[in-house]
Amino acid sequence: MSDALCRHKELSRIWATGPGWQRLGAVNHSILGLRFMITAAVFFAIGGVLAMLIRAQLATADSAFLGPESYNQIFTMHGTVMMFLFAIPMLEGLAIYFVPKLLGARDLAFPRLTAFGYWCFLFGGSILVGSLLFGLAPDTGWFMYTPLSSDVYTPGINADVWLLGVTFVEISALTLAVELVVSILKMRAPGMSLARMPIFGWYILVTAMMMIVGFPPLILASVLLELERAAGLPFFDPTRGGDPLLWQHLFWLFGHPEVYIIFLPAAGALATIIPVFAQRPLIGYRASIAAIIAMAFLSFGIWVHHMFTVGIPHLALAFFSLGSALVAVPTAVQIFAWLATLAHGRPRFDVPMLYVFGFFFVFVLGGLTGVMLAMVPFNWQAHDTYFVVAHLHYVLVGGFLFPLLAALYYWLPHVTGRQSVHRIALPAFWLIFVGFNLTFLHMHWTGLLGMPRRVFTYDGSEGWEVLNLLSSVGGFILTMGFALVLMDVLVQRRFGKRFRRDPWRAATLDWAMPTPPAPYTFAAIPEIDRRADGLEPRRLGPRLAAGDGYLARARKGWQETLGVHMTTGAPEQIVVLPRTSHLPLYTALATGLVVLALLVRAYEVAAFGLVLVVGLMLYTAQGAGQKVDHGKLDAGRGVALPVHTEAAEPPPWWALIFTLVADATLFASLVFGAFYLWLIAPAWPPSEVMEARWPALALVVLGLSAGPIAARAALQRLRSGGSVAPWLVAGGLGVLAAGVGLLRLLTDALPDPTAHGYAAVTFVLLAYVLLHVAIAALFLLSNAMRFAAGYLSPKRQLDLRLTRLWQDYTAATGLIALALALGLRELALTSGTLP
Amino acid sequence: MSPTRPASLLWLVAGFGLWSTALILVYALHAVGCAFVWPPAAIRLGLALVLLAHVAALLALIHHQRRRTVNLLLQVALWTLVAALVATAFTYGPLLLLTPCV
Repeated sequence: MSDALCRHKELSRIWATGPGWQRLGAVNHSILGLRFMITAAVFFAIGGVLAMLIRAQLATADSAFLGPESYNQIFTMHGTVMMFLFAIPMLEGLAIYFVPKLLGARDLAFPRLTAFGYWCFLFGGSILVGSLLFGLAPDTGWFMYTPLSSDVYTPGINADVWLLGVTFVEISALTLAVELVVSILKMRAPGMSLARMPIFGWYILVTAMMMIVGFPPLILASVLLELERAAGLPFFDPTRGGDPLLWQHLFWLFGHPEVYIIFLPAAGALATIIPVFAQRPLIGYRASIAAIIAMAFLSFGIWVHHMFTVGIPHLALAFFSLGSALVAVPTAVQIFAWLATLAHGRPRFDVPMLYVFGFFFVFVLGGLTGVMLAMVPFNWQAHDTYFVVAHLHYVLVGGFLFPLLAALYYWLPHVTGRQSVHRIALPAFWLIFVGFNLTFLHMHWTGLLGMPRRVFTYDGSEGWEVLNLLSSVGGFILTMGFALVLMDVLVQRRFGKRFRRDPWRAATLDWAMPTPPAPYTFAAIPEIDRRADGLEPRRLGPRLAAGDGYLARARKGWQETLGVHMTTGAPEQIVVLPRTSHLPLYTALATGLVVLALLVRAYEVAAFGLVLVVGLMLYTAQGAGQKVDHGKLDAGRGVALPVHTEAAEPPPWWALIFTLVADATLFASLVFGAFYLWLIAPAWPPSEVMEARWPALALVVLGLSAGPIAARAALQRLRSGGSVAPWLVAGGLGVLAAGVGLLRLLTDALPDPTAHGYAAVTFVLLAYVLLHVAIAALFLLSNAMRFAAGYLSPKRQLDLRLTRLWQDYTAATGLIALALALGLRELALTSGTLP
Repeated sequence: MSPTRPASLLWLVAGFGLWSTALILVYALHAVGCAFVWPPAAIRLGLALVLLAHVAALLALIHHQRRRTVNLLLQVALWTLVAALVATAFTYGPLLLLTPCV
């Protein structure tokens, strides 16, 4: 047996997922990436059927096909499914599957987190879609504007399904975003500095960072609205010191960047595919990186262009309008970089290029109508008409679906090991292209003729009927195109022509492996000595299979990959990854139980589920890491490296930092909400404010301050080889003091939180601190258990460093929240003096 | 700061980070000023100071960065700083010509 074959068998034995029941314990990125993409495609099909129902209803005037109640559920779910259950998970699946392969890693940083994220997505999506079957689906539009979605106007659980189901899916997306950022920054092939990273890596890095900052405002908004609906806290009720526009601000703080979160990975796929077919490297690599960064920031600063008609002062409209127009510039930089690459290359045409052409045509049109809508006077005319519906479909379908189909045809051979049969692919493309434009091009005119969004019927006298009929015919042609694509995928998988390696003559690492890929991805991890989109996979692949690289020998049954320096790509550590486990599935099931229990307001069951989730997470944490010090181990090519548990900056350290960035964004959104209500909401000042209970406040300050001190002392004791137990107990006492003080403030000092927006927002500020104090207690409990089990040593300090970081964050935000609660008390009293 | 330290990545976001702080300050100042019915000249002066401070900060960073484009990331950082300067002037400059609280 050859050396390469022995290596393959040995690595396969370690990395493979077993058959049957064990498949549910899969943590491998190739399996989970595919599951994400297939599940998202199923949701896309469901969203497509809902779109067909909408088009069937609107095809003729006075249609009795659907009633208003059903229609409301259907259009709401169409938007919700396409945005939350198709677009985001599909881009995540694409990133999960390809990021390690393009960057030269064997897997992502936290495989069990990937699995947990997948199950959360599946269960959350199933709750949302399942609600359709019972007639309980959300029915207030995919952006759930208050007060329509408040319990007064939407009684029942329809809106709760959206709030809880989407939050479930968003938390999954957030965890995966953290994982992607850490994986890209820390787990590349040696030598792959950030300056050598393939452009797809940059796109996913920026997208994942945008998710980390963009999703928390929506999660906060959903929590606040659910608190209003379930417990009566009036954040959005103008009669009790709330403001419905606060919802719009928080929603669009997420919702506008969301468009770019969807577009950027698709653009990353285009920037990967176009150079391959242009047969030359991407022109404007540096300018593209600068443009991606600019786009990410600008996309956050223009959320108000969704709110131009709500009555914001003209000066504010002006700078949001200017910013909205400005975002076209970095978009254009990327598009011109791709056009220049094609112009200076020797383009060859294949099916992926057809979809690239479709992208250019459709997306540029959508971008142009976007600039039109960025202009306030035009926006006022077109707001809430079908012009906006046409625009958003040109942007999203042009900017995501066409590139995704290009990526599908480009990368499907990687998944199946077979090449496409073009006889079906060509008519499929033309049906999609013609069908899409027939559906949406003249929908701009439908809007300009005044047809509003979200009406379930019209009487035919307005001149909209022919245009609507054409849109419906186009919609069904479009559907036929997608059906052909599905058929093509199945035919390719069954009858496609097999190939040896790299069928497109690409220049990236993803093709330097057998296809379909082995579970360990790379038999040996390559050394990169140039920009990683200028490689020769046909030559590199056999060398890697022969073991010419890092970590080519299996050791102790470990799943090993390399951790590198964040910017230079110098090898730093051997990352040992966890193997298959059903714990992510069980934890997601327990989380699903919490969500379902909250949905039916069975709070005892929800509390039980929460205990279960925490218990499972603690149990999972107990098995992580190493019980002995290994020192430096041979990583191949004459390099010796520590295991990640003994390294200075292992992936979990960075994961917690980026998690805290997301957490801080949520906190900042809450602070914004508090100030917004004080300044803008009617019915202020409140009749009662928080009492300044100084003993309780002092107890909280003392407890919060003790946490970081005890954490540092425990770490110092561990480094010197002593027992950390006394300092863990001291940290626990600090947590106890802070918790007791906060409970006293919440129960004794604060007025009834259902009485006024002031009391409600102060309640949430203090509850936020209490939640973090409770999590600090879990950190300490885990530290104690793992210290007793031998996972901590002077060399293995990661647990205590993570606790220190958490305690620092809790103390900092806790003290700010306390100061804000006291400050808001004073401000609330002054708000009555506002003119 | 060494151009290879992880913290050097902050240069990539420094320019548009400043553009974002300008947005927050302009939005907040304008909202508070209008709510408390400050004189229009005072609001305009406040907006002008925010704009000037950010333009000055961006110019200082560009000046600093021009001398240390030793690798690709720092070159990209310089480009983002220049882009952020243009974006700041384009987005917030015209505000000085408008009536604040209509």
